[in-house]
Amino acid sequence: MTSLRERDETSSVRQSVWRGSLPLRIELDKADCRTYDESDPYLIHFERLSYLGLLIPRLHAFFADRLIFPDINPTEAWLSFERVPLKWHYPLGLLYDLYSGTEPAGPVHTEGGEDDVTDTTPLQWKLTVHFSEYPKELVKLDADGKILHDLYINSVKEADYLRNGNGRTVMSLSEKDSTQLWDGVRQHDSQLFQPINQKLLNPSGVTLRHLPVKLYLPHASSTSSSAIQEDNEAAPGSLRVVQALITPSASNRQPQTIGTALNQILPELFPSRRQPLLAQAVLHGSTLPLTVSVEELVRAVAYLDGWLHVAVVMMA
Amino acid sequence: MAEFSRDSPVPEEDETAEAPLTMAASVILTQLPKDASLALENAGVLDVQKVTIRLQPLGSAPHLNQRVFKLSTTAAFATIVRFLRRRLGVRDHESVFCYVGNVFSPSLDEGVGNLWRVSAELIFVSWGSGIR
Repeated sequence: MTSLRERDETSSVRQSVWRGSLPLRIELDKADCRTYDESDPYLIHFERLSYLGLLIPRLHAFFADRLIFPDINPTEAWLSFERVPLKWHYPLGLLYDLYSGTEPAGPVHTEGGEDDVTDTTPLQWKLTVHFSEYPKELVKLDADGKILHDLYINSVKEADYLRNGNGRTVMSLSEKDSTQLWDGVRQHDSQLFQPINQKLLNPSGVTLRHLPVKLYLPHASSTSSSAIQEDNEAAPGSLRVVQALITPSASNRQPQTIGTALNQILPELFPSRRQPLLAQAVLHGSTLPLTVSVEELVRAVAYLDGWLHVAVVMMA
Repeated sequence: MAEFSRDSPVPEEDETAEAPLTMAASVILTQLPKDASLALENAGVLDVQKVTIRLQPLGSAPHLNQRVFKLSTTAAFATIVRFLRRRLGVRDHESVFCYVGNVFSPSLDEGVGNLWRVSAELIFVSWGSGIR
């Protein structure tokens, strides 16, 4: 049984993760701008847990009178950072942890409960919004937000499939509950979101089978190991997503920790279960202590689709 | 290479599940010590190169004669969807909805190797057309 104090800590960490946001500075791509001067940027503090696709109507309204083709359909809009298109189904916090190149903050201390993950305010993250040349690898959204919803709900189903071996918990939600879940995401309203999320996390009569965790690994450009390296010019690398079945308990019947899971899935990068030696695991902008329980993280600070999207960051 | 073996006339584009990385996040990779670079190179790569995909139509969806295929673990789920569309002769405006384990529709960029691992090494893809 969890003590009252532990429950308080969990809820305070959950709250600070829920409130965590990033200052964004979104500029219109010059190719889409009708004026020679750059247009004013769109500034916003946007929730780490949320999805950038939800911003498109506001961005379109803001930049409409600057566009070369003002009647362009808002569904032509897409966002990029350093020319890399940002995927709609990745929450903002994950995109930032993967792409911004910012050093992660130290581990979040739950003891004492004073630390707040939103304390360290990062610099503005400068993104670009485009209204032309839609990238072919990016899913196209629709005007009613139906595609964004489908991307989200399929991710929720996949998490459920891992937790319970089937998708019954999600599929048996009433229509009202399903609507409330998505409304909670769209409006970033925890009063709407949490009750349904708790139903998904605690289906009756089912034991937790696997924990939904996705690991995102950077991968150096293949040219860097060849002759081209001489001119010392770095080329952008690529991103590899790794998933595996992670049980709630490790082989020794102890709770599965981030360290035991990473040691099992990526032994080359995490040769020790307790100490980060070559790489660190980053979630919500902070490095995770390897000794933290994966199940506790899933229950307290998973992203809104139920997943722990963990960025693996190499140590310099 | 994303390629179906056995009786496959479909020329597959080389579509892998890996996505581009930004320069900001790539710089650190060029400054890593050699052992760390080597560890990163192979981390998370499956030993298995090809896995079996089982295909099953849902309800009144059109059938395929061949129900078992092999596919490279580095391919993206999009390869399966595109392959099915071609084999079924689906026209551009028609939809095919593909599910793994009869539960979820993976995003198109999801890696076949990951789907194989999380479905206990048996990818079961079902599809329906025009319904959801």
